[in-house]
Amino acid sequence: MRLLEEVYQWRTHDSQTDVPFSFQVPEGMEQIRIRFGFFPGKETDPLICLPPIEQSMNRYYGYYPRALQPMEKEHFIPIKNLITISLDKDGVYLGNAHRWATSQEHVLSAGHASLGFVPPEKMAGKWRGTLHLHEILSERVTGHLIVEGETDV
Amino acid sequence: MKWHPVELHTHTQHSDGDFTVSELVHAAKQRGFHAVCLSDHNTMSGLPELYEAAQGEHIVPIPAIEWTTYWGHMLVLDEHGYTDWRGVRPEQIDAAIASIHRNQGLVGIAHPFALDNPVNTGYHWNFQVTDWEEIDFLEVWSRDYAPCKIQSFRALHLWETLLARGFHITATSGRDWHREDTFHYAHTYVLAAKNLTKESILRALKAGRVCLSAGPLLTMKGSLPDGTHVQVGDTIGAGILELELDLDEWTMPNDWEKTAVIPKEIQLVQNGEILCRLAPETSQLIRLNAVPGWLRADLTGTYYGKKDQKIALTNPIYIN
Repeated sequence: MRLLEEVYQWRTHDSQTDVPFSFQVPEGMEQIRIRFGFFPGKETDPLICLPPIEQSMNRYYGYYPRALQPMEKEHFIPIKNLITISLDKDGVYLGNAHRWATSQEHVLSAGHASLGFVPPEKMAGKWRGTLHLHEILSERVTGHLIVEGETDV
Repeated sequence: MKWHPVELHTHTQHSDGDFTVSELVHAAKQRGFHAVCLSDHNTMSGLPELYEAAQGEHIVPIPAIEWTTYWGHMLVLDEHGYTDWRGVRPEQIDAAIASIHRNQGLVGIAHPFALDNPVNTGYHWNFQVTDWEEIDFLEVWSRDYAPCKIQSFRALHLWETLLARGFHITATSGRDWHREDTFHYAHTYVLAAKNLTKESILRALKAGRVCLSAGPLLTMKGSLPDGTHVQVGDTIGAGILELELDLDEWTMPNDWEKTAVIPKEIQLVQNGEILCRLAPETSQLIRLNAVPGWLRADLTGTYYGKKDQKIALTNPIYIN
């Protein structure tokens, strides 16, 4: 049973913002399956990557001479976009899947949770989640979130 | 009392590490650590596995979480409760830290000057701390080859600036360990009873009874003319102080190469200035007139081919 489906379009300026979502799990559901994917997972265009890498290196070096710890900015290309999911149930923080995967699946039931989460006390009720846009370097990133409830597990 | 190597910053598959929790604990034990802190990004879901694995390996587990925000990363150790990391703006960090302290947790700033977005997300510390006394520890060394990195120079400079302003903040080293590798890391040592516990580690961290080393362990203790013993982290009055400096070249033998980390001299550093330079003897005594401020010992030498690096340091003794 599909509980939520959202399609997102993000731009570079959405980086470092949170996107909340919520869904209702009806009585009788034994587990939920959250599938989240985004594209592209990385940015390879040097014209997009190099200026912010250079800014990052400027912040890193401060007033220190770069010769003390030379780094090549091209070495850091490609830059990965990073989006993670956190979840709450009944006001209790269940955790966060802080990983780089661009295609994620998280399964939670009252007795089990995918890595990064702890199981909720009960499944039924209102769930809240947040997509954390840690890094959106690409000019456009598309996200797709699906939450499904399952019985007879 | 004894110096114990502890690792305070690690990750597993519960966040973006490659280790399973049991692999991490086993690796820590193999390296020689007496305690390991599991500090996955924004989650504590690995803690049940940590406790089970640590029991099997006879290593002390420390529960933690690494706040992994857009404005910085912060290690939160042993919080009895939960302070939400989400949505805390740079100017709101004091209130968040106060909440963690109310829940008996310790906070430490992780890698404050690491390479930031877009290379590493949120790594550079941009939170606006107004009361630095509330920061329990500061990771002045992070990840591999820490003694030679500019982020370490900048973190040490920040630390010394704060010490000069009168704050007592414990310096630590964090491996930020995600997976097995062959890089070279520094270690954090805490002074605690031989029978190490989570509580004694946290007390040592809070009290500044901590030394860092990327090779031999340099420790410092003192005594006052009236016979009072002094440890790093203690606060004493100005005046005559006899210091004992000890160098242990046999510490953590599975995690650094004696042929590549070569001590050259011990420096006594007082309020940011080198007070005297000493040969790197196994043990030596020095008598001095301690002036108000802080007093620390550093070990310098060659670190994997780079000369004149800081390869070990103590936390300070504070002098009123």
